[in-house]
Amino acid sequence: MTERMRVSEIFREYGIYVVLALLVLGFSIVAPSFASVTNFILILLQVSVMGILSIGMLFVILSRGIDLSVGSILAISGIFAGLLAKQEFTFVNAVLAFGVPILLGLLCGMFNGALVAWVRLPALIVTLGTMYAYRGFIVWYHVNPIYQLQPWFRVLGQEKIGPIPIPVIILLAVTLVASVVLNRTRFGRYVYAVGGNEDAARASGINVKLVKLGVYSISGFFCGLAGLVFTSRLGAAQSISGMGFELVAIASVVVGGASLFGGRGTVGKTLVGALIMQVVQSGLVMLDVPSPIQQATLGFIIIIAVAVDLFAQTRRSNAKLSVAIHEFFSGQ
Amino acid sequence: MGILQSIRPAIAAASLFALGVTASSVSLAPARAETVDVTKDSWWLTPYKASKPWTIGVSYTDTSISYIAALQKAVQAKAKEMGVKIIEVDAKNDTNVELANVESLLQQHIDLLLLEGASLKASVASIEAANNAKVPVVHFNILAEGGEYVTFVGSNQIDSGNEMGKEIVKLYKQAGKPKLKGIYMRGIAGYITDEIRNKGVKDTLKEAGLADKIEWTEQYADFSRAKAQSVAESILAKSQDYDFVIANGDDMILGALGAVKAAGLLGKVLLYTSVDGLPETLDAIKAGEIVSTIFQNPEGQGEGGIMLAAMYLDGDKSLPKQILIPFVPTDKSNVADIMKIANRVYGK
Repeated sequence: MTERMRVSEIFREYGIYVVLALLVLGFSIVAPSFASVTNFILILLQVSVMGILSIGMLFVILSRGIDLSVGSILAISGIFAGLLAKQEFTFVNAVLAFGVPILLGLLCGMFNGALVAWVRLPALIVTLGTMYAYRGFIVWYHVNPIYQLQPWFRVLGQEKIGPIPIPVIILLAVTLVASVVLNRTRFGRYVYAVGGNEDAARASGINVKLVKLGVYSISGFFCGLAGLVFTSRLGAAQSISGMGFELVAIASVVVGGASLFGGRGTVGKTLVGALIMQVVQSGLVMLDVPSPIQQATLGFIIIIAVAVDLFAQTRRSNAKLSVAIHEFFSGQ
Repeated sequence: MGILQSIRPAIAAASLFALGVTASSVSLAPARAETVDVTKDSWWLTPYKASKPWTIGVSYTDTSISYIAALQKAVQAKAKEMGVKIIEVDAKNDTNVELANVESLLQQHIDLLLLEGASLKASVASIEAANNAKVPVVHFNILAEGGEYVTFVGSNQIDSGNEMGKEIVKLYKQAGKPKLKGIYMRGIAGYITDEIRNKGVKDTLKEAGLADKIEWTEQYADFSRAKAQSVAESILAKSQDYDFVIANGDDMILGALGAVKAAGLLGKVLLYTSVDGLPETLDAIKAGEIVSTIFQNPEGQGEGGIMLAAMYLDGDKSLPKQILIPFVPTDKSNVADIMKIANRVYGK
């Protein structure tokens, strides 16, 4: 019994990593060119933008919120990055081009957070509203694509340090910083506490409103950063960029084992969740599988991943439940 | 049809020439409805004043697309010149939204509906709503399959695929290899603009007897630049042994270009696209990074559409049922001319 418990415990803790490893192994067997260092680095590069967005989304979901506006914020950040990246290289221009998009992302996120925390509107409604509002604004502001960005700006998305593309380094830095914030700071503990039980968190003296403002601001900040990387990598900015990204980011967080009801999830597993989605997509492209089938496969993976996780999570509570049911019917 | 197609490039070349010369010299007195010859090249550039300040409802598919935004800009400019009032609505690619928009336009007593159908089949509901209200309908850019209408002004969508197919035939003859390997970036599965271009390409290759000489790797990239880049990266990670990439839209070929560049294959793998002739693509053609695109003229479709609407209201009942704005195959040889139009309609 204890042996079994330990296996399920390990499975619960590391199951998602096993799933990723199996997928990589599987694709490597059926598509030999999949298993190369360059392809693994490519997949990390391809996941960089979604990884950053997903980690921002994790903060919000941990607090039992949701952020549907991430794709629209990415587009705002991207367009302003594009406009500023057409200037000649000077120190000031570089600071503006790399700083303003992130600042705008932060402000958009803060606005979401303020509405959720102080006006007490449901996060789903607030961010659904700003998803449309932010998108409408940026399409109105600059409908045409911006291109011919200066080489100095494209370094961020297109260059490498050694063999590692800069977006991958940014993603790893984001992962590291976010882990530290969630695991080693008081704010991190508060985020879990608010998501786990908001009333209890409030009763224990946590400023729930500030925590909420914080998580949406962090999500916005990461959207701004992701918009920068996205624009620099693509070498162009479009006001329609990032449509539908919110759902992929939510899926990555959920596949990574976080609970949509808050309080449970880690940065590492979220990154693994995003990687699973990307590995499947890249692998299926290499196998010449048509995109509608890819979509269907991704859909099933989301469901299976969550079902497996739920199964692992509820084994013990199921045991308790069956005891309770037995007690109820036996009249004890 | 066959004849039309064969003379179209000639018309296109002539219309380009005409743009520079006649367009500026005809700005004397505004024409009258019956004096505008819609078979003439660049007829939509003829100055025109409406006899009354008509109110025309204009329904677009999705103005967040650069091409549609350019189309809208052309409609607005011409409406102002002609002295007609326009009420504009955006279907956001949703036929339910389109129908609600059209119903609201009809409530506002428009004299005519200028419609860019969001769907070939489902837009029929909007057209019938106008028919029932006895409001005439002019189609532009996209012709939906049903309901009554005055005229359609736009391009024959299969032509852009045919033209891209011809480029591949040309490439095959030049390459001197028994077989060519190509990557095909498709749009969104099931979309008419994707399917019809695919049909154009494949039919053209079949007619040239090359159907089995091209080995395809096809993937949908949703008309998205980022998706196309990512998909092309993965395909090229598997094998770099490709001769060319084609795409059913400029955004996707620009994404593929990023991947081809990153893989160091620029010049070895040639790039072609079927539509639209966005300024960035034209710049890439000029720089020799993309071989060709097919220019679709938002100015002709937009200005032409609203102008026909006004002409009909002014009493010209003899308009042909279909007025084609030709696609212009664009490569290094004529890119400078096309760029002049593109810069005008896409702005900055």
